[in-house]
Amino acid sequence: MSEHVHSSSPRIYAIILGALLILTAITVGAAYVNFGSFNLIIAVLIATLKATLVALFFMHLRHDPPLNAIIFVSSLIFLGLFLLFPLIDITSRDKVVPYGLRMQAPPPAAAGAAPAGGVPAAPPVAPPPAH
Amino acid sequence: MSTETHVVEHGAEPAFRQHHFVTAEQQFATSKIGMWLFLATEILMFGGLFVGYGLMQGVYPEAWVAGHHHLDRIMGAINTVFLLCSSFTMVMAVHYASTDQKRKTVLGLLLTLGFALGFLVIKYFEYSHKIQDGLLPGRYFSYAGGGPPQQAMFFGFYFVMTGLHGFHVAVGIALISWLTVRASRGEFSSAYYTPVDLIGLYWHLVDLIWIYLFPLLYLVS
Repeated sequence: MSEHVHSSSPRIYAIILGALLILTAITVGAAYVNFGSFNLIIAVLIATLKATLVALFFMHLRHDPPLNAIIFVSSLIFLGLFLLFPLIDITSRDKVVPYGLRMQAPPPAAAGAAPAGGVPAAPPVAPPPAH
Repeated sequence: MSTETHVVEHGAEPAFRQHHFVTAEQQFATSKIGMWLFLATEILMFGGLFVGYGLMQGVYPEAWVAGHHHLDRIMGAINTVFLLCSSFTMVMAVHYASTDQKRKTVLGLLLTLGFALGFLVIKYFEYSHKIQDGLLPGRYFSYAGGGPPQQAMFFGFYFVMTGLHGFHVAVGIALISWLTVRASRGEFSSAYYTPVDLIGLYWHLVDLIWIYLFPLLYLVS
């Protein structure tokens, strides 16, 4: 184990910490500017950059045997899948606005307008999606 | 593997080498793989919470914006700085442990503990402020200031995600305290510093999760 390569020097660690702190300042600053829907993308991009620096240098992935990085990246790929499919699902749905919701149980003959209910007797006509 | 090599290696190896490993390097590399596999499961566990958070933000965007405004960005930023610095002191401790510098190893671990405890202190102030204002999950939501009722769901996510993360910080504090005791007893050296390295990896993951939690919960609206 004495031959184990010391991946980075304290100097490099300090430089990386400096970069991380600067990126944090940029993230906070960018949050006060309104880029519209780009705010989310910018925040995630900067966070990913910070995460990459931590993973490569603090977690030694840069100098480790590649299997460690493969394990890490694989988990990110699966996380990506985990995010992707529900996002596709939910962004491609019509917006169903529940109406006629009642707190007490609906009368047995009529169908309740509760969206998660059972099969309605007479299917209510849903109002058009309000987008 | 011939018997001669086996006898020579067996005599020269430090006490920590387990019999089923050929060399100490192999044992160290294997331990690291084990820790990385565990970290992969942690990423997916928190990932599930992020997925839920993202989906519900899409369904109730006004409630999410209203919820965001109740979070203190300054406290969140301070916590981010604490964790980043703690990652630095942790990797320095690993470096010193691997280069036989015992006192600096202990110092690095103690500084890491300091930043971690600072994180939890700020968290305590944040949580108590929320509890005071009634910004609580689900049916405990009793905020008097109005806004969309689905804010209760936002705070469900807030408390579970930051709470689970805070729990991981607490576990990290316990582990790093254990490391500090062992390090001060001189149990680590360039020949064997595996626990410092592995718990360092765990601690960096805790930092990584917060690197994503902070902007998504506190900054984006």
